[in-house]
Amino acid sequence: MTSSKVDLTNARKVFHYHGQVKDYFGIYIVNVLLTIVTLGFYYPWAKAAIMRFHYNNLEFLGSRFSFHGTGNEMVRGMLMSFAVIVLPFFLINMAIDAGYLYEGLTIMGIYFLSLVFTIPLALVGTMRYRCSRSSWRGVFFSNSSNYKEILAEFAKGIFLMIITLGIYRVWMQNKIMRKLIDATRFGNIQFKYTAEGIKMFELNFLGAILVSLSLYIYYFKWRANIYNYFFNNIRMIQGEKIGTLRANITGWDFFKLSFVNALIILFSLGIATPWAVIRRYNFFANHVYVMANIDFDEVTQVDRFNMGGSIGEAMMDEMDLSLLY
Amino acid sequence: MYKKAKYFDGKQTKPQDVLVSVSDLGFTIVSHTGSKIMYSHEDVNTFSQEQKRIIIKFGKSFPYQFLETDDIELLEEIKKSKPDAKYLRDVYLIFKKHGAKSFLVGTTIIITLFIIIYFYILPVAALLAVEAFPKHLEIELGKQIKENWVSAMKTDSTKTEVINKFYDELQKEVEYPIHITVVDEKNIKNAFALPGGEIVVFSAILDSMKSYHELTGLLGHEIGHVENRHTLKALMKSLSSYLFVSIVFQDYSGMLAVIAERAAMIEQLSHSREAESESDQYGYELILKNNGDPNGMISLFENLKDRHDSTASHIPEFLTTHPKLDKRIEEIRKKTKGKTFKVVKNPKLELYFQQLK
Repeated sequence: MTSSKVDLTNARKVFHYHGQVKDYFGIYIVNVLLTIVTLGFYYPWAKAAIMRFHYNNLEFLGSRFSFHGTGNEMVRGMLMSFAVIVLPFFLINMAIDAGYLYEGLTIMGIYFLSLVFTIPLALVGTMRYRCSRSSWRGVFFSNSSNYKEILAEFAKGIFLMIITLGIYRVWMQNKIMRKLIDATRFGNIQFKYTAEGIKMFELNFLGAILVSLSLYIYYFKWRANIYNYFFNNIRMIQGEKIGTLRANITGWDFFKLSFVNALIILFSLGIATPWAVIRRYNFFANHVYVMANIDFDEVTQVDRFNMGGSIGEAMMDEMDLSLLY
Repeated sequence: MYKKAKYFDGKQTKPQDVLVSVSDLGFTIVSHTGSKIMYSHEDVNTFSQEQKRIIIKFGKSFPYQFLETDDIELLEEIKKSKPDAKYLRDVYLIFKKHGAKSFLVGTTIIITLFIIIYFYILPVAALLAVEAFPKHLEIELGKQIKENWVSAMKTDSTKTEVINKFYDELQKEVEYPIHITVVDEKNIKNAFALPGGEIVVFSAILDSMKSYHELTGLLGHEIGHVENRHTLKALMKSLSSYLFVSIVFQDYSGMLAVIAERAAMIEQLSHSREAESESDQYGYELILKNNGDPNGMISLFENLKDRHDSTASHIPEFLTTHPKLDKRIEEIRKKTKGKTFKVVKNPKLELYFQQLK
């Protein structure tokens, strides 16, 4: 079938997620409260608190991750991206209301077209920001992805997508993902993404057929296959040493996660969302393993570079994008 | 008291087993070889505690040093030796300490806050917005809405002309440029006012009137809505609640949709009881100013009581349900009680009124 059985015999369970629902509720409530009181301006600080919580609760080989981003940093990104993305939209609308109908609609068209090209900017910005603010045992991550390169890939992708009626989308996503992951380092460990476009396409193509034939029952198996393929193709290289992530999520596992989460959110009218989030983090911490001959005590710090601002992060929020599949 | 911890020097991931102690001066970290490192409380960059793990980040700039420990009593020792430590100030800590209780309290506060903002702060904010709203824009807005609205209806241009003459003949002090439009509609006994002075009257209500005093009262009532900016107030109130929800949930695009939708539904806004009685008062005074019969107001309400405009459910209720009408009749009766009014017939008004029938 589409996914080959992953051998977990040499893989170690190295991730543990310790987040507790009641603690997360505490943060969630403070966030909601302050966001209401400040008419939404607290959002960046709320986001920073949530990131810190998840990082500090995620353990890898006995040590927790740390997130170093702050609300003060992110509010700058939010204001900048507001000026770039949201404000023009309002201004153009005002112009249309004021009677500049054709001019306004033309500019609106250009605006939406150019919005598409800010997606690569948002992706690169987010990767750089997140990596440069993440550490484990005092050693930082970094990302050196290049906006121009991703933009070129993206523009080429859009063009080929139009020609191939959308089929090229999987390849484009895969190529961009490769560029983003290959530019990621943790100290002197280099990440490498080895997934192939054709295999991704196969998974998606077969998935789409089986999902519709099985009246959506196959959906969970399909999502699990995509996740497995994604994780199993993330490599870590440290000089001569090599490691890889390993995941063997079954359709039933993913069904239990997403179906129960949907029920939790639905029946609590959204109030129990923190519970669903904790379940999701637990799920990935429990299903992603590492198989490596790398000694994780021997990772050395390299100079910190590409301290990207947080504008990309805010853009991702505004356009409702997410990094993972 | 020394606590066991792991120390990371920011150069390598290799953990160093250390012992740490806290005093009012700061942290003393002793490695197993016996070498000592000291950090003051000012050297602490961030302090975090999650699930039986404390992580302290030291240093002002990259690379930072980290201390990780499972001995969460360290927090108590810091609090004892340096109770005012800046890095311990955290809004989230309050909630962490009290667990389930804080959840209940927090939820209650959120709901209370929502209620207070929604029902008390927003209406005030909406009124402030109305005050800041320029008059010429209000007039322009009313005209636009009228144009759109009336274009779908059959207007009676002769009656429109006459009713405006009737209005010109009235003694009054009105700030807004009033313009009245008569819509030919036999099933709707009603009238409504738009912001800025546009008034729409349905012919059915004119047909049922017995004296021109009733018409004076009706126009007075609608002018009352215009002069007190009731429609704009109602619009702002309904808009502000949507704005609040979209701002809190960061839904800027939804906000635009709502603005457009609300503007289209302007004629469906209903006025509050206070607004209605304020306008009734205006109508009553307009009758008096024109030496008319204030009982015209009462017969207008009585007249409206027997209407059965089931087709008009989407039309704003100039005068709402019957019990409310009774109450309003009562209010006018209280004002007229024991008083005598000198009614001076105005032949011009009478003439125009007859032409409207």
